[in-house]
Amino acid sequence: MKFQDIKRSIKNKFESAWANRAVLKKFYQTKQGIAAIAATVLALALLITVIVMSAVIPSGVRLAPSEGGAYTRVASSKYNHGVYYSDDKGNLYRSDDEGNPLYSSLVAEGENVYLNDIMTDPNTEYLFCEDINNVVYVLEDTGAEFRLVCKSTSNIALEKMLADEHYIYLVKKTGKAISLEKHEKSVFENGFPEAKNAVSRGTLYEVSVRSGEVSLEPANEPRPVGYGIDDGYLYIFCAAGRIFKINTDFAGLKQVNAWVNDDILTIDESEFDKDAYFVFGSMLSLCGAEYHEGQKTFYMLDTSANIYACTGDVFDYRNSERGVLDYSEYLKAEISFESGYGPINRNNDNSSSRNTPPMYLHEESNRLLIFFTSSNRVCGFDVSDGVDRLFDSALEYNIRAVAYNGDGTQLFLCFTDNDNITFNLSVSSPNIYMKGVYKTLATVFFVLGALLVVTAGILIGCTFKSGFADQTKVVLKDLVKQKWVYVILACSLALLFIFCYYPAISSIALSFTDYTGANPSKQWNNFKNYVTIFTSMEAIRSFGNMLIFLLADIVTAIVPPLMFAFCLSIIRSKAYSKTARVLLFLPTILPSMATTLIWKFGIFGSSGALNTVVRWLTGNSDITVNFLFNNSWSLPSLIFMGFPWVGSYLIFYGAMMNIPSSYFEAAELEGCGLFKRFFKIDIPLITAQIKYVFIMSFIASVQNFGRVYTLTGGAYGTDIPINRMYSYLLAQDYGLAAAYATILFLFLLIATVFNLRMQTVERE
Amino acid sequence: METNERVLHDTPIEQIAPSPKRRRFKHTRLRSQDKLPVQITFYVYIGIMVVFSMIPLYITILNSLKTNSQVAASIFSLPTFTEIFANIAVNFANAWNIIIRYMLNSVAVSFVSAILNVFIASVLAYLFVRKRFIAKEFIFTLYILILLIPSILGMSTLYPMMADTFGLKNNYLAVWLPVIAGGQAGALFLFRTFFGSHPTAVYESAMLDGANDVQIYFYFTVPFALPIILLNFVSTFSGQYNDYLWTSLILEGDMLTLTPVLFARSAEFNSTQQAVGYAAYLIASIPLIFVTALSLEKFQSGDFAAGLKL
Repeated sequence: MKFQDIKRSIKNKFESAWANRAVLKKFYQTKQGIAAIAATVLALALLITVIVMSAVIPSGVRLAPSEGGAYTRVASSKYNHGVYYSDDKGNLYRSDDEGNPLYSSLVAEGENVYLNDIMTDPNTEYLFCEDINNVVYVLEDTGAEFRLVCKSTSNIALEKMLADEHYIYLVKKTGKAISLEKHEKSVFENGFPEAKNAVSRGTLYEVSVRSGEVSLEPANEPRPVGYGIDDGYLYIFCAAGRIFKINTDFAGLKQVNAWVNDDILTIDESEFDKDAYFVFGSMLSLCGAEYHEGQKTFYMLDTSANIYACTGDVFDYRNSERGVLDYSEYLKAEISFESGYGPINRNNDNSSSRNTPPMYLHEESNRLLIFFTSSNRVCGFDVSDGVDRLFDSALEYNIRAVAYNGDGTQLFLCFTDNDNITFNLSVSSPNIYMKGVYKTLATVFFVLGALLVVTAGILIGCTFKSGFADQTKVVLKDLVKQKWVYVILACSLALLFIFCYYPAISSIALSFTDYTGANPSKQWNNFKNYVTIFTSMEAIRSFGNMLIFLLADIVTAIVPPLMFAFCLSIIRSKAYSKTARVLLFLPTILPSMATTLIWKFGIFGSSGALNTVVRWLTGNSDITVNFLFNNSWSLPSLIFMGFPWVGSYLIFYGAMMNIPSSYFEAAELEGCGLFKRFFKIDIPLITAQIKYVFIMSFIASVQNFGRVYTLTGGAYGTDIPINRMYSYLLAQDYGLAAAYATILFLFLLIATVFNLRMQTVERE
Repeated sequence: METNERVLHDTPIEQIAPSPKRRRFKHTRLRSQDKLPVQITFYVYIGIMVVFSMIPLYITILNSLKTNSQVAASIFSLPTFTEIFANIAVNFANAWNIIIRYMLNSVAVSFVSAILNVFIASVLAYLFVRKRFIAKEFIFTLYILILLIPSILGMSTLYPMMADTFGLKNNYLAVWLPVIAGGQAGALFLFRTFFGSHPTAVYESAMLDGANDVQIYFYFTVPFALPIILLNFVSTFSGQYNDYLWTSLILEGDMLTLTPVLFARSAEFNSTQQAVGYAAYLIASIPLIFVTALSLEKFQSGDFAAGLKL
């Protein structure tokens, strides 16, 4: 219908509807009309909800530095509610709420040096940044730029910086032990202070009190996993369950001259101020601890994924006899997880998880995030009143650092992809983990809305279009009457979609991601797989091999069988022909794998048929020609397999037998010779069969996996794309395998379409 | 049932169950082709081609009758006649023990795949031919479109889906479901063409006599279409029996089918037990022999293949 006609018909409809306004009024009063209108309104409401939800569904925005490279770390400062991130060139940026850099400064000095830790504290305006060479830079954010306050002159293994009103405490790792330094804040303006100039300093010691004697032993391997300053005490939570509680005056320890040597020291218990310094042992194996300053609560996470919450006065000597606390009183939440996975545990010296915090607390929104290893899972809890689980989500990447903006409306994630090398930064609403919930809701609403729209449409059509109601009734009656037909069809179509359409479409989509068994990431990877394929010499060579095989297979599938079928049709003795056909049928009953193996060992093998012939021909019984595992003979041997290639001669033979004899009579009359007849009559008349064999052997050759895999395994220059795809599938690199499959699919599709077109053109 | 019998007798047999053998044309013989040199050349050519085609099979049978050491010594040597039966006993018994478990797996998997495939496709074809329903051609196109998609494309998704999401790794369902889902399309296409050529008069009289769909399906459609059903059964069975790619991915251990095992053991066979290996190949073809014998006559006739004009 022409556009003008459509316009005119619509105009007519409107005019007639307007002329029949009275009819419309009646429509509102009929039951059908009301139902239709109600359905439409509801459907519209649902659709609008869905649209609004899709707009609201949080999704992250990935940030990238403008000059290329990647971001390495993100942190937020509770002092000025700023968000900072660093990139791999050594710059430090102050970010706004959308992740756009406000200002930056090149901090890290040196080639390929970048910051991998940014430490902040609510009680100080300083930022302590540590680079990969363990050099510490102290910066101040003036609000318009970064000012370098000082820089450490040597490499310091600075674990953490904490501050209270007047002092800054540095937690360092010296050797196996942890040492503390207390400096005045102003000192940093004059250069990074040396340890010996500290107001107080010392190594952490384990304390055991026994019958009046206090023995101090250097704390061995106490990996600190969490810190806090509360009420004049400094808390350091260590992995093996040791919790150090130290008076920030460092006062009670002045009497103990335990700094100097590392031997076990014993002193009189009366001299030891237990209020000033105490170590709690515990049965817990901690992997994280966070301090909520507003609630004055410590949240601890152990390796069994239990969350404990307690206040600082719990870690008071007086609360426990031997400095061992019963933590079951403070257990607030247990997280169940699949075996083998647990919270990120910095006890394991797995370098990839060393920097990642297992838990992150954002006080303003009372949100506690806990990160898991391997499954890249994150659990969220609301700690405003007790510990309530908010969500449980799977991520597609490994998180390195987390930061919230000032009011908790934006979540900054610094994460790495599967290769643990490239860093990324994304900013999103903190509800990003609720995506799964949103998506399900949205899908349900969408389906309901679609159904309602369809129903509304039918009802409206019933009213306006005459006969539509009857048609609908007919369709519905048919559905009910032939319900088994539709049920069977539905089941069969469901099977088809789930196991044929969905995998195909999903594979094509997968080819654009880095989906592997270890890291099921569904992020668009910008054609990386295709670039990998087309820039790899081996891959291009395999495609070349595929084309060589294709050409050879098509030739051997058409020419020898054609000649053979012709000969069969010419010979006089039917018995001979029948015998030949029966004999030729026999080898086809062997399984194809068996045939291939017989060729591999019995014919190409070192004591096989071909070598026997070679020995017989050259008279030399020591020669062994290596047909398969040989760079020059491999490809020709694979092509040679299947000799003498009678293949699908039966199709050609049948077709030749069906050529009407009138053609041959005419040829006879014209004095046509035998071979002329073959080329001018037989072949043109069986072109359909030739085309069929052509397309079948084309498709089979591209997908011929068994031949190369069995005979040479793809080595010695015989690799073809489908074998490469198989090896990637085995290695669980599904994205790359899907890319190969998609390329092969496109190749076959183009060939099939081309061939079908040629056929239809010929018919016309 | 008198009306039906009359219909059956009146309709020429070719219309109901075309037998290919009766439709051969008489060939006019050209003088040129009857010349003796020409004929001799062709006889010799055919003979040579047949001989070369038989060599792999000959090697297999010959070497399964020898001992392992005789095979290793020379591939073409003849076995000593007296030892043949002893060799057979040893080789075939060994091979049987090695592969029987996997062969039975293969047979079970292939048989179930073929039966389900044929059954579902024939039911669907019956629906398409005999019933009217909405969007018939559109749904048929959906089935045909699948034929354009090679099975390898879906494998990247299908493997994690089967192994992880459904947890069907090492379970035969993981083999059957994709085969049935994909095989429906091709078989449906084939069946619909053949079912459509059945005489409607027979069906109408059956319906007049009050037969319901299930009875019509079992008593009329299936017997009429038995040749094509058997053909499809055999080709699905063979295809599944020979399948390597998918079964080696999804199955392991004792549940494996034959083809991956043959490949895995082939190197071992080749080093020390060549005769046993050849015997194993022969044993592995027994199920195929059985199944092919079902429709042997249909295979032999070349005219049947002539119907594959596309």
